Amino acid sequence: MAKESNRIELLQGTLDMLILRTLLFGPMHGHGIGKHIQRTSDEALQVEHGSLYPALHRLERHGWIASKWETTDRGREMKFYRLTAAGRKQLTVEESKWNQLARAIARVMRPA
Amino acid sequence: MWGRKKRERDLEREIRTDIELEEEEQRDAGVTPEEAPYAARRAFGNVMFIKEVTREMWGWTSLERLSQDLRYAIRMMKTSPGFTLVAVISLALGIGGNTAIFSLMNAVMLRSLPVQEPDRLVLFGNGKWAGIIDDLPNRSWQLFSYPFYRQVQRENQVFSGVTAMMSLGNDVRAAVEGAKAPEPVRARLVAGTYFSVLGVNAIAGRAFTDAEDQTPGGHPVAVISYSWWQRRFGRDLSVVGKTLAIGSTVYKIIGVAPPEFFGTSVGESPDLWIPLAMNERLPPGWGGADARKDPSFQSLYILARLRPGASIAQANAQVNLIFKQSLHERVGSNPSAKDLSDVQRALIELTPGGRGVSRVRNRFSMSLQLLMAAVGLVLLIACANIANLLLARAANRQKEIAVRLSIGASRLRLIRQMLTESILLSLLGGLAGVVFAGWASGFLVWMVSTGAERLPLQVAPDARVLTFTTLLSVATGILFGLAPALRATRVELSWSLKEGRGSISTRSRNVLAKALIVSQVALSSVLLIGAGLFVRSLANLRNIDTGFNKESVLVMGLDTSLLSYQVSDSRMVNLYRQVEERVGQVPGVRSAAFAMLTFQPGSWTDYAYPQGRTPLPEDQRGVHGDVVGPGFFAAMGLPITLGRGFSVSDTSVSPKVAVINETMARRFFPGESPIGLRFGLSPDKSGEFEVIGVVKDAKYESLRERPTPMAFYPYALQRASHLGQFAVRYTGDVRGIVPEIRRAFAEVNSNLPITEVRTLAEQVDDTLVGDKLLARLSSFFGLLALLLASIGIYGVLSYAVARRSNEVGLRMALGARRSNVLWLVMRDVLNLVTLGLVIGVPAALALERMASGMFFGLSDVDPLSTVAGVGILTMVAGIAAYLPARRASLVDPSTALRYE
Repeated sequence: MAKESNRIELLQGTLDMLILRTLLFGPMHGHGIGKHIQRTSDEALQVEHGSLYPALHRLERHGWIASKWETTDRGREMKFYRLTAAGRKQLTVEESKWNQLARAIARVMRPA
Repeated sequence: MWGRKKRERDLEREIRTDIELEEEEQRDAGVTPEEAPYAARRAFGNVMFIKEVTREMWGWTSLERLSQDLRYAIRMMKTSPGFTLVAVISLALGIGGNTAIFSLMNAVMLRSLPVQEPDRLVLFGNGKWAGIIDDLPNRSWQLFSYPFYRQVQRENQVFSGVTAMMSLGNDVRAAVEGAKAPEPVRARLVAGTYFSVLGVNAIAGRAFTDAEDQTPGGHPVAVISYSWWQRRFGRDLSVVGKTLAIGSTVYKIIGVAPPEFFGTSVGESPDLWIPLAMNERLPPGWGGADARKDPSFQSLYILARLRPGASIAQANAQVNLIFKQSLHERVGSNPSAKDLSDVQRALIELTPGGRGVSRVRNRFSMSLQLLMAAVGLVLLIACANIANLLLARAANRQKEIAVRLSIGASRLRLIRQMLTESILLSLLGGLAGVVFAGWASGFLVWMVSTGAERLPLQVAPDARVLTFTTLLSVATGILFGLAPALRATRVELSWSLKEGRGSISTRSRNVLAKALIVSQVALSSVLLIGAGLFVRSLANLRNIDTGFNKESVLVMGLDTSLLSYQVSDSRMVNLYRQVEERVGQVPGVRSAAFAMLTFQPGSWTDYAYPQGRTPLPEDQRGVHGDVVGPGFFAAMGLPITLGRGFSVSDTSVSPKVAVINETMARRFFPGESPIGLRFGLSPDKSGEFEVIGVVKDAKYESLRERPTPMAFYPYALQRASHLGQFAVRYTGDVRGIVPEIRRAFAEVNSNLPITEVRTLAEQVDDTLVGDKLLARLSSFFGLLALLLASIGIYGVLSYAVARRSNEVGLRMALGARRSNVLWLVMRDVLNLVTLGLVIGVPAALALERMASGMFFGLSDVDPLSTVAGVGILTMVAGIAAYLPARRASLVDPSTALRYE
């Protein structure tokens, strides 16, 4: 369990933003998205499949991402998600909300 | 469903490919090929759970989840048909009973008249009186004069229309054009504005208007009801324009009312409506010519439609202003102090008129509310029963539930699914209940109907009843399903999966089951004690001394107004005499007499003034009056205690005489024999009547009445009247006598039809219809409650015994005797029953005190019904507990111990 200790619980709602941000680089399958978030956060953020799948399906229902079965470079057929135009817009909304939140928290934690 | 299946496959594939990819990566990272699949799965997580939570995101769920749950619920019901049957039957009884009582309440108390915008109609007063009253109004007033009706119509600014109806019905005989003999019809006098204010249009012909309500006797027109049109004329359209003769007047039928319109009185169904202007001509010609002019002849109900924008408060203010004005005019310029204080206190309370006027409503609303409460309790007991059964079943399903929880089903989902099962059960019960109620409400109407005719109440379920039943069913399902569902899904997974029959939750399950038993016992005891009270109250009423001897007396209804004699006509008196004499000769008849009143609701009251004494205070001056023939006291079995009764020698020319009852003698002539003393009905004529006899006190209108002063006058022109009752005391077989009496009547005068023949005992019994209804139905509900509660006790105990067989076996192996075991099991139940009674009995007693007005001749705490209720309940509960307890005591220790 020691391995878990330096992991951070994802804040409610931030996973959506991270997925949208990840897909900004291009279409990706669920597994890849999870791995990417994990890698780029230096393993600090572990995305459980139990959160990832519902998030992907929720985003798809909102029309922010779309999915399609495609073959990978290694010849494996996977379900790829890509960002839609609405998704891009949503990403900016979420990002600015996140920035506001981060600044607000920073002000509370380190008062000038 | 297509989209859902495709998506399901899609998700399946997506997860599979992701796991395969993970596997590949694990191998790349150096995990052995054998280990890789497991490592991948571990890294991935609980697939079932992931699927479940992902599905939640699809948004399609509610409907499809419902259909899944329903299919599952139906499967569960099929696997335990016995449970389903018991549950559905008890629910059908519970919900059906509620629906039946509610249908009746709906018909009597809630349903609006089938008229335009019924919620804008207001009734002057509450419609609780019917008859003719000539007092100066001095309190909240219910009946009004014709001049006042017209005055309100002229002067108000708050109503778009005002109409009036005669509060008394005119049950007459009408000879339809072309028919040989006149037939009985129910006519109602209504103002010309009646149909237009209600917004009721004729479906054939037309309705009459205010123009046909102007000249007294000048508008012989009639609108007939749909049901009479159907019954009498086979819905022949040519009926419009036909004539019918009533008395000496020929009326023209001008229209037919719509099928749903039964007038403005619930529980009545008139055959025809006639303009008020015809009052004098329509037998019995209430009030004669005075009825239209005399402001003290008050006999009308007034119904008005609020003008758009006018509030009930404005209407109230204005109506009372007009009322006070009219009363000031009535008392004149020189009123007495008493008149003024009366007028001061007089008032009209406007009530919602959309439900019409109903004497049935006034008579039964209290009973119906009580029955509604009782049947509600029965349903609660049924709910407790089913909750207990579900609880027991849930315990058996614990392992299944544990499995489903552990492979990822959410608790909420399971609860929802179990609730779907219970609501499905209760809806099935509700459906069966509606069928049961259809039958039961007809039976109820039959029970509250007196006489030969069924009360014309429409109890067929309408939208309101069906909504009630549906909501009730769903609420019932949630009520009995929720606790077991919550309980069943609170499972310690590791324990339940290991244990065969899981015992971890028995403790709290038992607490709940026990609480349910206690509440069942408490509710049943309330119902049983209540039933006992109503039964005892009815018995008291039946055993009460009526004063007269009700056995072997026939009472016949007559329509003497048909003879078209004026009341003062000596031919009428001669006819009475001849009939009495002729009937007296019929073999088996001991005495026979005409009377204005025998025993029935309705009275005639005067103020009486004893000669040479100071008048009594006003509230004690009232004396009921009756006009009778010489044989009346013998026919009714009323003993004369002093002096003599009437004889044929009391005639129009002999001195005016009266027979008074004991109460009147005591009150008006205290301390001396009243024989030979005089009294009168106005202060200046206090010597009018000589008292020739005193008759024993009796009940006159209702069995609940207190002793009332009563004076009897001979009909021989001393107080002339149309007498509508004929009492006959007989011996022998009543069936042989009735045709003989009819023949005797016909011999004297063929125009004197007997409209109704009943025994006096029946007539007395009719006044108890509400009490009988309460006694019978509350007994039925009490027994039903008892049955349900004992099923509950039996079920819970059987289950507990089965689970405790191990313990019982152990005890017996260690030397416990069968009787010890029996007691061990019984003790538990008896404790619960005692606890239930400790709660239920005081509750019942508190309710008894609250409703003490409903019970006749019982003390505040009636010991007999309490003891009987407790006794019956304890005994039945004991039997219900004994059967499973005995089974437990017959357990073979070696078998029991080997098990598990």
